[in-house]
Formats: sequence, C-alpha cells, structure tokens
Amino acid sequence: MKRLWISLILLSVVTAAGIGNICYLKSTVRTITDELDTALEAAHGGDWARSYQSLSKARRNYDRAEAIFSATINEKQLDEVCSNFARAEEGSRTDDHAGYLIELSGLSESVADLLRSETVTLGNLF
Amino acid sequence: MTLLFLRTILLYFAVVFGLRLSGKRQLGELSTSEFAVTILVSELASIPLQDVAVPLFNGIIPLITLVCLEVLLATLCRVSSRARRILCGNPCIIIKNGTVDQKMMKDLRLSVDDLMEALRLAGASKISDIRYAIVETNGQLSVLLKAEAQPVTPAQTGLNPPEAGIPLILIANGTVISQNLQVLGKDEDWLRAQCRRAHCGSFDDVYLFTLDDAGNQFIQPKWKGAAS
Repeated sequence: MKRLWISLILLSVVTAAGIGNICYLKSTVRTITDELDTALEAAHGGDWARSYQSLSKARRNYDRAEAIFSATINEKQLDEVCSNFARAEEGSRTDDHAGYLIELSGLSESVADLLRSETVTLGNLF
Repeated sequence: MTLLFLRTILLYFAVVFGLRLSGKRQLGELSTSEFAVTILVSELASIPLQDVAVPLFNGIIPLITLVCLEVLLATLCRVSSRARRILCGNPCIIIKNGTVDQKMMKDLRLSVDDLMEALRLAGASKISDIRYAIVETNGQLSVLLKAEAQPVTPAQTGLNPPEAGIPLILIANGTVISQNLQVLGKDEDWLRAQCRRAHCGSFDDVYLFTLDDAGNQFIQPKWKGAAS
C-alpha cells in the first residue's frame, strides 16, 4: 500500500508540475511576444526608440524566466532565442532598420516556438 | 565534464529510486509490462547523459511516470482478476499427462526446440514423466512431474530429518550483530562461550558466525593473513 500511495502522490506531483509549467510558459511567452509585437509595431511606424525600449523589456522578461525555461526546454531552442535576441539588439545599435525588422520577426517566431513545442496538441503528441 | 559527472550521479539515484519503488523482483520473474518498463527506464535515463543540452527532467519525469504507472497497474492486477487476465494473460498448459498440446504450441508460437530447451532448463528430461508443463504469464515453464518420476522425500521413506531454520548472521568479520542476537534470544555471554569453544579468543577472531532457530550453528575463524 505504501508503494501505491507513493506512486499516486508522485504522479499527482508530476501532473501538477506539468500543468504549472505549461501555465507559466504560456503567461511568460505571451508577455514576451506582446513586448516584441509592440516593438515590431513601433518599428513599422518608424518609432525606433520605442521599438528598442520594448525589445529591451522583452529581453529582461526573458532573462528572468530563462532559469526556469532551462529546466524543461532543450538548450538548443533556448540558444536559438538568445542568439536571435543578440542579433536583434545588434540591429538596434546599427542603422540597418530592414535587418532589424527581419531579426525582430525571427525573434518573435522563435519565442512563440518555445510555447508551440510544449503545448499539448495532437501534432506534438504524435 | 563535471556537469556530466553530476548529472550521471543524479540520474543513477533516480533510477535506483525508481527500481526500488517498483519492488524487488528478479529479472526472470518480471511480467511482460514490467520487463518493458525496465528496458525503457534504462533507455530514458541515458538520454540526458548522451546530450547535455537535454534537460535532466526529460529523463527523470518519464522514468517516474513509467514506474508509478507500473505500480498502479500491478496493484490493479492484484485486486482485479479481469485486469490481470487482460494485462498479463493466462498460464497455458502445453503438456498434459505426457502428451504435448500441439494446438497450444501453435498458439504460443513455440517450436519443439524451444520446448525441449525449456524442459531441460526446468530439469525434466523425459516428456513421458511430465504430468503438467505450464507456460506461466512471465514466459517461464513450470513442470509438475508424475508421482512415479518425482524424487523420493524423507516422509515417503519414513525418515524424520531435523528441521533447518533460516540462518542469521551473528558475527560478520568480527562485528557482532546485536539485532540478530536478540531475535534468536541469545546474548553476548553465550556468543563468547561458543566462540571460545571454537578456539576463537574474541569476537574479532571470527569471520562468520551464523545460527538458525533450529539451533544449527556455523562458525568460521578469520584467516590469520587477513587485514583486520
């Protein structure tokens, strides 16, 4: 009976941790992509200062969440997001606005991919 | 490299915990699902070891999940005969009164070579001596011999041999195991007297001392050349 109870408790803990992880991932990725969408909108409207500000905010949010992400998400995916952030920040420091826009779009996609790969869907299951 | 070393230690303890949780079973006694889970557990534990980019939880969580599901299913099989039938199958009689059931052999996809090998491993040489041969749910073959082919027991010859108990270790490499002394209702004075009778001056001179509840004792002094 002891083994049965330990198994039930462990399964409940794992299930709860999985649900908690998905919820946290959803809220954090949504926050970061919202900031990146704001940055993209501002960049399309020519307001580069606001765009760079939103990008920095998104970067800070990502840095805060990275430790928790690294416990459950493959490092290669996180490395891709980090390098996209670095390229976008590099683009914000130069006058290459077109390049900056492309990098920002790519960054937004790679951040959204973090959630897509962890969401429970039939495609991901199979 | 240090990271790999630490991850290996963590995964090792996770696997040990998982296998302890699933219970004590010899490999040969595992049912089909238990065998599959054991193989999977070892494969899953190796994934984070092969690639440091893979999070440790990607190995630990599937491991815990599999082991817990196995415990739950084993409990279900214990309480429900229907579940046991579905998950583990039924034992099958393939030899009855010295005759091989050819239909059952075909259903189990067993060849005569497989059968003869299993019979030899079970210690049965002649099919005509076998009353029942049963393929258990874990794939092992159980053999029940006919009465005339079974070994003679002391009861059949009218002998009354003494009972043998389970030997408990009282001294192991010079160290007295007090708990076992208590279980057998003995004390250190008695133990000392037994050791002196075996020409061992002290407990330190004894390598192994066992005693069972039927009073059978075994004592082996330490080899003089062994380091203490």
